[in-house]
Amino acid sequence: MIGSALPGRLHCRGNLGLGIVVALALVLGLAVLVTACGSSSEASTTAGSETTTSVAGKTDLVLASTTSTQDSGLFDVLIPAFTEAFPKYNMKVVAVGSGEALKLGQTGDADVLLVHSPAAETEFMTAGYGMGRKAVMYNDFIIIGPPSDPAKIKGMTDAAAAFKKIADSQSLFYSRGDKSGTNAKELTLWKAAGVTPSGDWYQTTGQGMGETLTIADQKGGYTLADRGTWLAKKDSLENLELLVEGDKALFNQYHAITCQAAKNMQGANDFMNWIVSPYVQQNIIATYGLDKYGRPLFIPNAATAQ
Amino acid sequence: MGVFWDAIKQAVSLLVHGDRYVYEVMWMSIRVAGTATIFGMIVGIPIGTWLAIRRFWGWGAAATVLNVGLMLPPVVVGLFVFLLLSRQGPFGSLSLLYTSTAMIIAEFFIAAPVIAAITMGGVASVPKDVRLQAMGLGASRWQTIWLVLREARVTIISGIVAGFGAAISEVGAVMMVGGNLSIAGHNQTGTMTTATMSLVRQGEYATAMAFGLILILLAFIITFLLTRTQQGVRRRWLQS
Amino acid sequence: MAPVVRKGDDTAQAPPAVAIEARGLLKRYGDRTVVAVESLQVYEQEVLAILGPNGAGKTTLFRLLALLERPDAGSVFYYGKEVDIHALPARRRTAAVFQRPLLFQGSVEDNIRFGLRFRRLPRSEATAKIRRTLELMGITHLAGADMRTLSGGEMQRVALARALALEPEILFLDEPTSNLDVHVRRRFREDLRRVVDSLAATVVIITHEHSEALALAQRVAVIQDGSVVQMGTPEEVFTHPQNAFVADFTGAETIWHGETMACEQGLCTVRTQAGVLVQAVGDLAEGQPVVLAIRPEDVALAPSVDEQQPGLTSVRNQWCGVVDSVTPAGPLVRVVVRLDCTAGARPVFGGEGEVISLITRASADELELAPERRVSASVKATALHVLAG
Repeated sequence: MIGSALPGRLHCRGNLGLGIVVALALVLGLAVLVTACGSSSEASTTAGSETTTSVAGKTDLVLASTTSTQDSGLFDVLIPAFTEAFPKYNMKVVAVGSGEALKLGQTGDADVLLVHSPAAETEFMTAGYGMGRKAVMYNDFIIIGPPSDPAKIKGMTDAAAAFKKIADSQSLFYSRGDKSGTNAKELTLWKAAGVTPSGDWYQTTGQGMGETLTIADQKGGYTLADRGTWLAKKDSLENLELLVEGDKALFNQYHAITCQAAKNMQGANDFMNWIVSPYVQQNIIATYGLDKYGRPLFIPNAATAQ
Repeated sequence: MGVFWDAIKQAVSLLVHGDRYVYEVMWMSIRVAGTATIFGMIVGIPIGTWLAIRRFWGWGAAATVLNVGLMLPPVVVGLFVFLLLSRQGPFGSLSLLYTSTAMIIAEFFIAAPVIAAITMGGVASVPKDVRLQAMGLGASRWQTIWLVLREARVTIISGIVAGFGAAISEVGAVMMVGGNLSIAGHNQTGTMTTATMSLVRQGEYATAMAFGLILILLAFIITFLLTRTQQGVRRRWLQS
Repeated sequence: MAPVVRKGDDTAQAPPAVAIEARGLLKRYGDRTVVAVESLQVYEQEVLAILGPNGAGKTTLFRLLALLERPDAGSVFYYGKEVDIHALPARRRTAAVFQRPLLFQGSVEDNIRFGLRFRRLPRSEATAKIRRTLELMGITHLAGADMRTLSGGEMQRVALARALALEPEILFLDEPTSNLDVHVRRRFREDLRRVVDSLAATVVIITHEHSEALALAQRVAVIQDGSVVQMGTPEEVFTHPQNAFVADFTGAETIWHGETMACEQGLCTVRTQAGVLVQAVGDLAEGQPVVLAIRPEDVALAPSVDEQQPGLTSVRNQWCGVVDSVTPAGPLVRVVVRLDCTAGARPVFGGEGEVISLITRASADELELAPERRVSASVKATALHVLAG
C-alpha cells in the first residue's frame, strides 16, 4: 500500500539541490552517450573487422525487416533454418517500417535488410548506403474492405480504378502512412488513379499492417494489405473481406540489401547469399504457408527477377 | 552521435516554428490526460478518503481492489477497454473506439487508482485527533472531511500529479484504443507517446524528438510546481 | 440521587432536569468490551466527574456521550431527545476540551476562533464572543500572543477558552489537567471552578485523579472495566466506597482481606490474611469474609507502644510495626509501616501486612521517622471502611 508517496517538505535549498542532482544526471548521461557514439563511429570505419561477440562465442547479426513480413510469420521458419546452417551467428530480427529499416541500414544499426519498398531502396543504393542488393521473393497486395462494399469494387481487376471508386464515393479508407513498403505501394496506386486522397474519409494510422487491419475491421473501412498478413489474420477479422486482387500493379517485390555501414559484413553477405540459394528458395520460401493456408504466402524469384 | 544531435536540432526548429502537427498532438495528449485526471480526482479522492476514514464490512476487499488497480499493468487496462468498446463488445454500438473519448476512458482507469491510493495513504496519516477535536467543537461531517483533506493536501496533490504522469506517459493502452489516427496531416487521435512510437518506426526521429523534449519539459514544470506546493505554509499543530 | 444545585437556586425542590442520559451503551473493540453502561444520567447544570483508572473506558465513554463515536448498542439522549453522531444541532450545543487539545501555530485569538469558524458566524459576532471569553478566563492580555510562547497551563486555558467561546450548554473535559505540571494544576482547577460556577452549563469531567473529582465535581461516577460501579456525591463515594476497587481508587490506600471472627454490639473483630487483628464497626456474621479499607489520613502514628498494654484510649486499633519507607508528598509525608507484632506470628503478605499513613511533616520530624524505626500505627474502629468481599 502506498503511504505518503513523497518525501517531506523540501525547502528552498532542497529545490536547488534537486536542480543540481538533475543537472548532474543529464551531464553524466550525455557523457555516456558521447563515449558510446565515439566507439561506434570507430567501428564503422573498420567495417567487418570489429564485430561484437556475445552469446557463447557467437557473433551478432542484425536483420532489419518490415512488420508485414514478421506478421506473416515467415521469420519463424526462416531464422531457425539460417541459424542451423550458420550456427556461428546470433541472429536478431528487428521488424519496423521500411522507412526505419532503411534508416537503420544507413546508420549501421542493421547489417542486412529484407524490405519491399523499391523506390526508397533505389534511393538508398544510389546514396551509397548499400553494398549489394538481390531480389528474393514477391507476394502481392490486395484491397480489403467491409462486406457491405459501399464503393462497389468487389471483383475488380484494376487496382487503380478501384481506388478511384473509393475516392469518388468517399468511403472510409485507412492508410498506414508510415513510409512502409505497403504505404509506398498505396501511394503509387493513388497516383495512378489520378487522385490526391484527402478528406475525413481518408485516415492515417501510422502503424503496422496488423494494427491497421484491426482498425479497418473495427470501423468498417477499406485498406491495402499484403496477402501474407491478411492470410495470417483473416480468421480474427469478422468485418473484412478480400475485394480486389490479381492486378500486376499490386505486385510486391522483396529485396535483400547488405549495408555499407554494417558491423557484421561477413554475416550480412552470408545471409543474402543464403536466402537466394536454390535450396532456401525452393524448400523454405516456396512452401511457407502451404499447409496452413493452402497456398504459399511468398513466391521466390531470386533466379528470375533482376 | 550525429543522429542524436540532428534530431534535437530539428526538433527545436519544429517547436520554435510552431509545427502544426506537433502542437495538435501535444494538445491532444494534454487534453486527454488532463480530462482523465480530473475525472480520476472526482472519483479517486472521495473513494480514497472514504476508505481511509471509515471501516465497514468488506473494507478489506475494497482496499485490495484499489491496490490491485494500482499494480495493474496499464496495457491490461488498454486491453479491457478495447474489448469493451470493440464491435463485438458490450459497448460496441457506441462507436467509441479510436476516439479521444476512448483514450480518456483508458487513461481514467490508469490515473484513478493512483489518485485514490495515494489519497487514502495521505488521509489515513492525518491523526484521528484532528477529526475528533473538530467534531468536538461543532464541525459538521463535511467540515471535518474538508479539514482532513486540507491537512493531507500536499499528499493528495502529489497523488494527482502522479495520476496525471501515469496517464500522459501511457503508450500501449492509448495506442490500442486510440489508434493514432490522423487525417491529411491533422492529428485525430494521436498522442505524444503513440505518435512518437509510430514516428520512430518510420525513421522520423526529428518529430519524435520534439515530443520527447516536450514531455521532458512538462515533467520538469510539474515537478517544480509540486515542490513549490510542498514548501507552502502548512498549519502546524502544537504539542501542548 | 439529587445533585447540589448551584448559584442558590430556589428550585431545589423540583426534580432536576436530565441533560444527558445514556441507556444500554455498549462499545466493543474486537472482542474486548470497552464500555458497558446500563444507565447514566447527567443533570442540568451539574458538574459530573467520571473517575476511573487508565484503560477503564473513560475516554470511550466520553466520546460516546459527546456524540463523537457510534456505540455498538444503546442510545444517548440530550434533554430527553435521542441523539447520535449525525445529530449536528445536538452536537453544537456541546463543546469538548481534549487531554491533548489540537492547538496550532498562530495567535491565541486565531486558536479561539477555530471552533467558531465552523458555525459560519459573521466575523464581528465571532470577535465579540472571543473578547467575552478572554475576559471570562482572565487572559485578555494574551489575545495577540503567539501560541509558541505560552506555557502549558496557558495553552490549556486557551483550549478551554476555545470551547467556552462556543457558549455550550454542555461542556466536556477529558483529563483537563493531566498534561500539566503538578504545581500548575491547582491554579488551573481554581480557574476552572470559577468559570464553571459562573456559567449555566452542564459539565462532564473525565479524570483518573480522585483529588480532581473531589475538587470540582458535585457528583462522581466511578468506572471500572467499562461499567459504572458507583455513583454519588464525592463525599458519599469517598467515605462509603461500595467495593475494594472504588475504595482503592478513591484513595483508601490500605486494603486488607480477612475473615470475621466475632461481632458484639456492632463492633466486629476481623483477622486479616496477614494475621492482623482489626476491630471495625459493622454488622457481620461469624466467618464472613470481609474487605477492609483504610484511608492514609485516618492512620495516626506514635512512638512504639507495647501492644499488650496500650494505655486507655478510644482508639480500638493499635498495631506495632517498623517503618518501611518515608516519602514526601508536598507539605505532608507518606509513611509505609510494616506490621510485625502480630499475635500468632503469621508471615507477612506484601501489601496485606502494611498500613499506609499520611501525616504532617512537622509530626514526621518530631517522631524522627526513618526506615527501620519502630512505631505504633492506630486507626479508630469507626474509621475503617468495611466492604463486601
